[in-house]
Amino acid sequence: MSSIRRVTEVYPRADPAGIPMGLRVDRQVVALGMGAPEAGPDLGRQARAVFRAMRELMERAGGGLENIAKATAYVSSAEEREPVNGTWWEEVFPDLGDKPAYKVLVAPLPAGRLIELDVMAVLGATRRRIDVPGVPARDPTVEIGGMVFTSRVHGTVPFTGDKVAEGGVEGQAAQAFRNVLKLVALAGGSAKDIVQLTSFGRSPGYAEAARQALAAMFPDEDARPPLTTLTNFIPAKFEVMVEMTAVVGGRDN
Amino acid sequence: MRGFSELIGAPQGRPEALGLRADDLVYGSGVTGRDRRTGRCAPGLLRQADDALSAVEEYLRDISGSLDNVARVSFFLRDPRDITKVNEVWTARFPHSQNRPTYKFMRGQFADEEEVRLDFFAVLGQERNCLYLPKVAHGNPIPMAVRMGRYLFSSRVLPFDPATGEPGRDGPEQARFAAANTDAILRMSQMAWSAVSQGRAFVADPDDDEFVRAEWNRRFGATARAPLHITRYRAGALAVLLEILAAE
Repeated sequence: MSSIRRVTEVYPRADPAGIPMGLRVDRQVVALGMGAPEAGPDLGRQARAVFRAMRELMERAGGGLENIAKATAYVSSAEEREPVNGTWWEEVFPDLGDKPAYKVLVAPLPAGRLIELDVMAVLGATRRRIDVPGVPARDPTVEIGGMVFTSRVHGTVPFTGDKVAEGGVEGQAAQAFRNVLKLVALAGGSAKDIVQLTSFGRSPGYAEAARQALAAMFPDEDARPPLTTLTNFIPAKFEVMVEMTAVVGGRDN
Repeated sequence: MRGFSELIGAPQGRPEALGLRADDLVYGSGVTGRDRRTGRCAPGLLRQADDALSAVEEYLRDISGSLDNVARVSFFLRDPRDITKVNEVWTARFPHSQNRPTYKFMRGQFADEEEVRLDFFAVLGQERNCLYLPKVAHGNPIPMAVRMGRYLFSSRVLPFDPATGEPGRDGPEQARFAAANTDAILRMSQMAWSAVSQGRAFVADPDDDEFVRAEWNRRFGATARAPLHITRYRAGALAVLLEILAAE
């Protein structure tokens, strides 16, 4: 039985087109594909405009930037990722200890749109950063209101000075899944609390090895979290990255 | 809320999240007929509308649903009058006249070959209960509202006199009729105004806003009032339309 009590669309302050910015479901807020082509043909201007729209979304939903759990930006090419991932995002979230989970992916965008942004937030709750001890991460995993959102977790072996696990895709995937499980545990949950796992590899051929690594970790299929495998940009030193969402706070979130 | 996940693409597909599942409620936004592998749209509105509904079907199938779970669709079109063309696709996808989702259609702005984009709500594990009002019917093939499980999704409720089926003479009268017809929908779905979580009024003339707000506020009495968002919109003789979303 669903526990949802309130569903409302979130509208911008000025609404000439009559299109909602996002949706609020109880305390959760989601906006998908936010863009700012009206900012002109410059990625920096569009990125800053779309981050301003993110702030407006949260204010219109009854919250603020402190409630944002996770964001995903999309750009058209790998070369465009870095400033979106770094400088412009850090203008909005300068505190390394208090940032949402975040990733920047490459996707074909409609003409005129140089960036799109998805945002998820939990109203009435603020972020708690969680790190696997000994594994550095620029973009964090956060627990917020009983939900856990990772950025893209890599197969770095703890306390090795940033060394990636050996064993190719399967070895890295296994380590990334171990790191994810550690993050859930540090948030107060366990594997059964995972509601979504998504892996990212450079080419489609990686997917089977990622599935095998997960199957080896969870031989019982009924206990195995569902995995969606995607192909997208990942940094050169990695073969696979894993993103996870978990609900560790019960049904009242 | 344990059933919480993004709707994302299949392997080798595009990575964008197109929606969200929260318990039994599914919300999709910005769905197009764009091919997920090539990023291109097929030529023509009809083909794109059909491809967009295929995308919805595919996403719902991934979470053990189908188009039978769709409650409401919002179409964004280059020219809203083209909804009559989209109706061909709509009735083919939803052939049973008494069992269709409801929809609304609005003008969208598209920079490239896109002709249509849609948002949708679906409810998993529930049957669609279509609600119709005597004498107050859309010209398009949709019910006035859909009740699915604990949720009620209305279309843009028409400002027609429930006794005659004729539009109100002016904005204030249309505001009264639209609100009264919304009363009737809530009664049919056995829900109270206290279950309404949001209203959206489509009002042609800003001078009529106060009448729409007065009708809205009157229905909540001392209880917590759901927000009412007003969008400026004109559709021929229809000066006021009212859309609600409710959950009990």
